[in-house]
Amino acid sequence: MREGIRKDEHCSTLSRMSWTRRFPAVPAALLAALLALLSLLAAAPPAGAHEERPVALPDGTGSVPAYRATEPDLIVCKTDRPAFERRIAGFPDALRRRNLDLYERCEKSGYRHLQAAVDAVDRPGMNIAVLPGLYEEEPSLPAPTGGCAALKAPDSALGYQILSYAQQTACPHNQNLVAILGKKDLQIEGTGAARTDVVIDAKYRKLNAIRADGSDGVYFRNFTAQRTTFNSLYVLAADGFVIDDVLTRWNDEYGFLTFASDHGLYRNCESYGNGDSGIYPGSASDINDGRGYDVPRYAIEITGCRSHHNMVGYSGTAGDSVWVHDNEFDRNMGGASMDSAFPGHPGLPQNHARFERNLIHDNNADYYPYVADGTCAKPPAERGYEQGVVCPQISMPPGTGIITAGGNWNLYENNWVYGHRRAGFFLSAVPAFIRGEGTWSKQTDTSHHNRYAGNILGKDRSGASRPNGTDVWWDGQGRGNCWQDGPDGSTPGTLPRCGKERGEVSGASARLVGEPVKLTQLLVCADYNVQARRLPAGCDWYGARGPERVETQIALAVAAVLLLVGGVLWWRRLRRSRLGTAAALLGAAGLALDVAGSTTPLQDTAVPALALLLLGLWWTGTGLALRPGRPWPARLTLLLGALTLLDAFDKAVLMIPWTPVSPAWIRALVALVWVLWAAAAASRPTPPTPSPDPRPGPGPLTRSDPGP
Amino acid sequence: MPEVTLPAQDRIRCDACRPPARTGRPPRHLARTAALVALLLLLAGGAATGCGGRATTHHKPGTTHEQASGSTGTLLDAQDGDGHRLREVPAQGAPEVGLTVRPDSEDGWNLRLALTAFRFTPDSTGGAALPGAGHAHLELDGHKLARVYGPWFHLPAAQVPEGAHTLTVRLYADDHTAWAVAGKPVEASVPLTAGPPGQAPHSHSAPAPTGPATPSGAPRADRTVTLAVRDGKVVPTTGRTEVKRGERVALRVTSDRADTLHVHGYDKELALPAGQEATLILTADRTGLFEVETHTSGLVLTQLLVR
Repeated sequence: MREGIRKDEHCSTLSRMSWTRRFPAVPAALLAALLALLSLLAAAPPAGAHEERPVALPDGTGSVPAYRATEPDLIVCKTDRPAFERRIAGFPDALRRRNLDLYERCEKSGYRHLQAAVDAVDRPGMNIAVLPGLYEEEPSLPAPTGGCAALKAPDSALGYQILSYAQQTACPHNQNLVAILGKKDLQIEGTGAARTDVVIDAKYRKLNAIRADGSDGVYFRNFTAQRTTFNSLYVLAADGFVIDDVLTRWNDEYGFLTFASDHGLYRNCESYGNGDSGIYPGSASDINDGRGYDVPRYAIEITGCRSHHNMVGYSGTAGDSVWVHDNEFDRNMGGASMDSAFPGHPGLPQNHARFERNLIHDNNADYYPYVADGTCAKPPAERGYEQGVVCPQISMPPGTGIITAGGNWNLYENNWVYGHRRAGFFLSAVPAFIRGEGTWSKQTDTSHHNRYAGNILGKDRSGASRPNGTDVWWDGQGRGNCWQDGPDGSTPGTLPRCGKERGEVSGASARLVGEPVKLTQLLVCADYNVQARRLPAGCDWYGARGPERVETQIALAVAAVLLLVGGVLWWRRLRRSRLGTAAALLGAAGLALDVAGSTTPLQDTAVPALALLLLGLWWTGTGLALRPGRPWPARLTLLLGALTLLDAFDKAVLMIPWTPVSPAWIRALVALVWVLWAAAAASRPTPPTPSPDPRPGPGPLTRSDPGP
Repeated sequence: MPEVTLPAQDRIRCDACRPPARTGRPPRHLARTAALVALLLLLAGGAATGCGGRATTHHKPGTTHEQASGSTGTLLDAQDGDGHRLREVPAQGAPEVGLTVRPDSEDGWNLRLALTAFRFTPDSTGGAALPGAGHAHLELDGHKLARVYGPWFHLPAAQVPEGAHTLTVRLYADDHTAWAVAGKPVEASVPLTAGPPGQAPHSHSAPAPTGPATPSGAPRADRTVTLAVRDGKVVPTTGRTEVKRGERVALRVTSDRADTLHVHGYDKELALPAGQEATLILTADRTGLFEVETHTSGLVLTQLLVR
C-alpha cells in the first residue's frame, strides 16, 4: 500500500540519509528486527553501487517507435570482401543478394565502425544498417587522453567516474564502446540472417558495449552485443525504445539494462551469462503509482524473450509498470525478481509488474561456488564467462521461480512455474530504510496486494509433473496478498486465497512484519559480499544444510533452552502431577517436531503447526497444573499456551486477520518472560514437604480444571 | 533479495529540492530561510523529500568490474596456409599445445591435446580474440580435417589414406586468427602412418561381411563419386551410382553453402563447409538403394545402388 507515500516525480533519486540518525517510533517487534539488522549493518562494509548521474523519469509524452523497413541512410561494414562473402554464403538467396548490394554501397560510401555511422547521424529518424561481421570498434578502445583523462567528476565506490551528460558527450568512449547520445528516433539494424551474424564485442574493455542516452525512440534490431564489465545494451532515460531480436551475453551485470525509461518494448530477445540479470527494466517509469490493479497502460512491455544461465533471468528493482508476457526464464539461479531492496532507483517501492503466460522453470543453477573458489576474484576477461561461469553480484535464493522482495500490486497470472528445487514463488517485505528511506511511515510500504492466480505450478506445458520444492515461500508480511488454491506445499501452511476477480481475497491478513525466524534467515542470508567472498555460513542459499541452517539452529537453541528449563521445572514442581507430566511429554514431543519442522523437507508441511499445537498443549497443561498453587505464573503459562495454540491456528488453518504482527512475535516475547520465571522457579530450593506444591491448594493437582 | 546496504552520505543535488528559480536577486532573508530550510531538511532527514544522491542503476559493487587493458597480440601479415592471419603474442604466457595419438581398438585413432594457458571457447567463436582462448584446427598434411573444441578427438580411419602422414593441431583465437609466437603458429605435429587398405570395422553392429578385418587399417576408396551443389542445383544432375557390395565409396562433395551430407540407410553424416570440398568414405556393406542427400537444402545428390 502506498498511503502516506508521496510520489516525488521530480526527484529522480532517493535520499540515502543514514537511517540511524532518526529516532524509532515503531512497534517493539519491528524495532527488535531493526536492531538485529543494525548489528549486521555495523559489520557490513559501506556499499556503493555503480552510480549514475541523477536522472529524471521521462514525462511520458513519447511513444514506442515502429520498425522502419525503408532503405538505410548509413551502412556499416568491414573491408575484407572474401570474409564477408564467406559469412553470407549460407544465407537464403534473396537475403544474400540484398547483403551483396548493401556491401557494394558500403564499399563506396559506408562506415567501418558503428560509432562512425552513429556520429554521422544528423537528423531524427535515420536508419543504420550493419552488415554481417565482427565489430570491435577499435577507434573507441584506447584509454582516454587529454581532457578526457582528467575529467572532474565524482567517483563511484568502485572508482569509476560518474559522468554528467555533457561529459559523456565530450568523452563518449571513457565508458562506452558505442555511444549514442542525443540521437532521436535512430534505428540500428543488423542485416544478417540471424542475430549472431553481426557481433559487437567489447572484449571486457568497456563498461557498456552500446549506450543510448538521451536518445528517445531508438530501435535496435538483429545483432549481438557481448562481453562488458557492466551492460551490453544500456538504454538510459529514454521515452520510447525497442529491443528487437537482439542477443546479449557475458556481462558482469546485465545483458539489457533500460533504466528510467518509458514506452519501451523488448521483443524476441535473448540474454545469458550475466552476473546479475539478463533483462533489467530497472526504474521503469512509475506511471501507475497510486493505482490499484486497473491501469491505463504499462511503461515497458517484454515479450518473446528468453533469458537463461544468469544469476536471475529478469530483474525488476523498481521495475514499475512492466508487462512481461510469453517469455521463457529458465536455468538461472532465479527466474525473475521484483524488489525494493536497493537505494538510488527512482520509483521505489516497486509496483505494478504484470507477469502472464511466461515459462519459468528449472532455475536451479548455483553459481556461488565460483565466488567461493576465487574464480570471480579474477579480472572479468579471465573468469571464463564464455564457458558458463557466472559471478552472482548479489544475494538470492537459488532454485526459485519468481522472487518478490518488496513490491506492491504485482500480478502473476497464468504462468507456468515448475522444476525449482527451492520454491515457485518467494514473497517478502523489505523495510524502506534498506533502500535508504528513513521515513517511518514508509517502513512497511511493501509487500502488499501481490496476486498469484491461475498459474500452473509443478507441471510443464505437456502436463508432466515437474514439482517445485515448495510452491510458496512467504514471510507472512503485508496486506492484500493472495495465492491461488492448492499450491503443493507452502510456508506458512495456510495462505490468503485469491478470489475470481482481482482484488478479491479470502483469509486476508495484514501484518507489519514477517515471521521472526524467516526475518532472521533473511538477515543472515543478506550478509553476502562477492568481493569479500563472504558467503553467510548459516544460510542455505549458499549451501548450508541440516543443522548448519540458521532456522534449524534457532529451533535447536530454543528446544535446548525449553527442554532444560521446562524439564527442571517439571522435575522440581510438577513430576507428581499427572497432568503436568502428560503436558511435559507433549512439550518434549513438540520440541522435537519443532526442530524437525525447521528442516527443508518438512518446513512446508503440517509439522511446524503440529509442533506448535503440542507446545501449546504443554504450556496449557502446565499452566493448569500450576494454577492451584501459583496463580500468576499459571496465568503467564496459560497465556503462553493460548498464544502458541493461536500461532498453530494461524499457520495451519487461517491467518488471523487484523493483527499487526503474527502471534509468533507476541509468543516469543511472552516466552522470554516465561523462561526467566521458570528458570527462577525451578532453581529455588525445593520446599521441605514431599509434595510438589507445598502450599495448600484448592484441589488435587491432577484435577484438570477448565482453563480461564 | 533483501540485500542490506549501508546508505552512503547524503547529497542534496536534486533540482526539485532547490528553491524555484527566480528572476532577479532573491531578498537576503529569503536566501537565509532557504538555507535554513535546507539545513533542517538535511538534519530531519532528506529522505522525507525523496530527493538525494545520484541514481544507482546497479545493485551492489559486486565484482571488480575491472576493464581489460592487456594486449591480445599483434596481427601479422603472415598466414597459416589456409588464409588465416597469425596473431603474435609474447612467448611468456603464450598458449601451448601438445598432441598425443593412440590407435583406437575399433577404428582410427584417439587424439589428446595437452593445453597450457589456453581454454576452448566454442560459444564465443566468431567474436573478438581474447588472450588464451579459442579453438584448434586439426590438419592432415596441411589439409584441415576438423575444428576442435575440446581436448579429445576421435579420428576415424576413413579420413586417413594409406601411407605416412603428418597430423597437426594449431591453436586459433575466437576471430579465427592463429595464435603465434616469434612468427610461428602455436601448433604440434606428430607422424601418423595408416595401414593398408581394407575394411576397418566401424561398429560392432554392422561388421563388414567380406574382406579382411584390419583393426587400424586405413581404407582407400575403390570408387570415387564427385558431386557439387551450386545455387540449389546438383552437378552432375541426380542419378544412380552403382557399386558392388563391399566396395569402399568416397563421396567428394563441394557445396556453395554450409550444409550437412547424409547417406540414408548407412546413417553417415558429414559437415559440408561452404565452398570447400569434403569427402565422406563408407564401405557399401549392405545391399539396397540408398539416397545421398543434403540436410539443409534438402537435395538428393545421388542414389547409391549397392548390389
